[in-house]
Amino acid sequence: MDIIFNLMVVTLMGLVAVIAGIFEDLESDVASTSNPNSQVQLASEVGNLHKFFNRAISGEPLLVGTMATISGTICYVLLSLNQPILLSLTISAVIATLVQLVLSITSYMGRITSQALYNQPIFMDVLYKHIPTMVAHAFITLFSITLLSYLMVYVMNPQLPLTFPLVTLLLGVTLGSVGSAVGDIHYGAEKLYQTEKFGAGIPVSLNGQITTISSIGSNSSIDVVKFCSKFAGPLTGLCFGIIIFLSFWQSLVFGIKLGLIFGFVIIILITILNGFLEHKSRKKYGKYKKE
Amino acid sequence: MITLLLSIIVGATLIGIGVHFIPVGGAPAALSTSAGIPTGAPMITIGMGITSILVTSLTINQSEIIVLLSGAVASMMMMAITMFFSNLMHIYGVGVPLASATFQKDPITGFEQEEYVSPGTKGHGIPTVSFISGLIGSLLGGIGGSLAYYALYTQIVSKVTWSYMIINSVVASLSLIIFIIIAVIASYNIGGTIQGFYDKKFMKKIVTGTISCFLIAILLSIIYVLFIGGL
Amino acid sequence: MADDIIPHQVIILISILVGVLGIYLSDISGIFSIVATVFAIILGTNTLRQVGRYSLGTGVPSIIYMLTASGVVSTFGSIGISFYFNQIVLFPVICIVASFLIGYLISLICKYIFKIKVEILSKSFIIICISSVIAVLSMSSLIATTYNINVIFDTVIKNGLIIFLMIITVMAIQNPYNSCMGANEEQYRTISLAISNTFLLLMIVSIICILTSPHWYIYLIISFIGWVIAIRKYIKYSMQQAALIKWSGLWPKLNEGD
Repeated sequence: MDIIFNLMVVTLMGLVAVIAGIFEDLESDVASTSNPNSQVQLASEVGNLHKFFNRAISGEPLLVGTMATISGTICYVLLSLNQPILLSLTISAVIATLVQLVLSITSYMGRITSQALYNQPIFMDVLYKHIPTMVAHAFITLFSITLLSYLMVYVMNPQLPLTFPLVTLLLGVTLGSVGSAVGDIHYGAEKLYQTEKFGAGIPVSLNGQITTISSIGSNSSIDVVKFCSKFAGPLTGLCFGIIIFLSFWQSLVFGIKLGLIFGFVIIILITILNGFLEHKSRKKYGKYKKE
Repeated sequence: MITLLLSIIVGATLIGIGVHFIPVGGAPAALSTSAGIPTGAPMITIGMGITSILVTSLTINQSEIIVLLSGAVASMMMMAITMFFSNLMHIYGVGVPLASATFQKDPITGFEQEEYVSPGTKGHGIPTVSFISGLIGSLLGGIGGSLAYYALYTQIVSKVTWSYMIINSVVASLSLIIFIIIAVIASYNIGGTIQGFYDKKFMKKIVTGTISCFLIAILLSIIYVLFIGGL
Repeated sequence: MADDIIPHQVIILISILVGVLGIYLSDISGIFSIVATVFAIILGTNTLRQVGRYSLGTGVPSIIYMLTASGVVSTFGSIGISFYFNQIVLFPVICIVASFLIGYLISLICKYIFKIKVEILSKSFIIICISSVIAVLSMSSLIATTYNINVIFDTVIKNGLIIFLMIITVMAIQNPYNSCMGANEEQYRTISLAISNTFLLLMIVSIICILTSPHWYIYLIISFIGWVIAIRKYIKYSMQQAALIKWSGLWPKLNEGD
């Protein structure tokens, strides 16, 4: 009975992690954070003025980690005062979202004003249209991370012996680096350069020539998030969910020593699968012809 | 005390060496302009270290070998899954095969690299030899982190009478700080991008990397011994 | 990059004096801790503006990560020394001296092993280390309502809240420079963003003070008023210095042709 309860908790943790991953990646697309943002920054300097959101608060893992730990600390304070659990989770997620909102607005205004030399205007309608979407995605992300940490610290049966603010920080930084490593490729290499052909990387000579005109006027980050929600968001969520699920599942089902051997077997399986994928893609795509 | 000093020095140096094995592409890799994982070197190292701290804190009561191995398996698994999904995104989302322009032929699979690189770029994705190199790097990093965690835990538990949760929180904070400092120092040494152990840059950078991480490890271990000695 | 209006040496002198004084007076009231934190973050941001224009091989946030972590390490070492010698009054001064030494050693490694040739590297690294130590110590003394080391150990270090304070300091020091980076970066605008960010994060810290002090709502109100004043100044400067403010439509076409 005990093992079945633990398995149910770990499965629930995996599902909550999938949701956190999806919405973190989509939030970093709607507000243009981290690696592909260097192209958006470069575009104004080479003469392509644009209407994207340009946010550069810090690197992506540090940003998600800071917001998650703010939410976790406020929840820890409210739980120490014996408030009901669902109320504390919601209030802490709302407060952390408000902090992220203020930092995004000031960052957009700061970056665009510093490009006044290149005649890039500040568009107030970009602020009004993108901020509500960004706030909605950020709230779901922060709520999911706080709920995931709560399940890890207070509900799981071999209890994780770390305090609540520390666990939210650790999970937030991991989610940020996974989201940056997996999801940003679809935004940077595909949607930002939509006028280039599918099937090749972006050569260095094309840096800065991003697509600024789209189907009904200017290309904006709302178009980007609609495009990326078809593939990049769900794949990032699946990646983070699998990491959380597999890290805790094997020691619960097999015991600690057998679980280690099982972990090694999974790693070898993934390596073989990767080699298989590489071989299949080379056969299907073929070589680049010299034009 | 002497075992604590030696364990932290060895552990921190292992983390520093492990960072040099991870194939890092930086910001251009997110545009499929260079091969490797598309994020900065310190960030992916800290992410890998955090997973090993999380899982090590669950198994701290077992013998030393089990603790080291569980930290290593946790960080290797996180790195393997992240690299696999990054490759999936390159192949199905952007439509490029995995290739890198910094070496001619992959030694493990025997694939030619030159004609599969898009013109004007330096490669994209994570080919098999870089994948294996990333796994070796996370193995070393996981073992180093768990070694430092275990040594700090056994020293503190023999000196104070706090509760189980408080001791683990303090030890986890101390190990997190080791990871942050060593990751940034090692990435200053790399200075940008690296493709794992099959890159020509690797041989030049590994010696200075080991020396600098060794010196920082000595400094950190002296300060931690002062902290625990005064408790 | 425009010239500095307030010289860098004046900021260093005033910030270190006000910082140390604020930590020592935190027994009387928490307002002195708030003032000390604001001055420490201003010092860190201004130093980052000097050293950030040289490309050091990794991005801007990584430098601050490492130096703030070294500051927290020096705090741990000073805790050990102070417990051993039973010293309570000199604890902040020991922390600052230790962070000076660690910052100097790290800059020596960067200069001689990595051969990074930037002439203001040592001075900037040491000053950022010191400013991060002052910020973390003054925020801990705000939560613990005193600079007594036993109380700080019980309320801040045992819960793991010291890592939370470290991450907030990293975000507060590097965000203004990162957000305003560009060709027209200017000192008054960046410093006003630094002040407004510090008050925003101090609002969160004063919510944590519910657990330890009965005057938490006074700190919350003071931080809120400070944030409102600073952010109005920042928005006023941004609107004045931007190229153009548009409420709808596309960007203007350039005369030379695209």
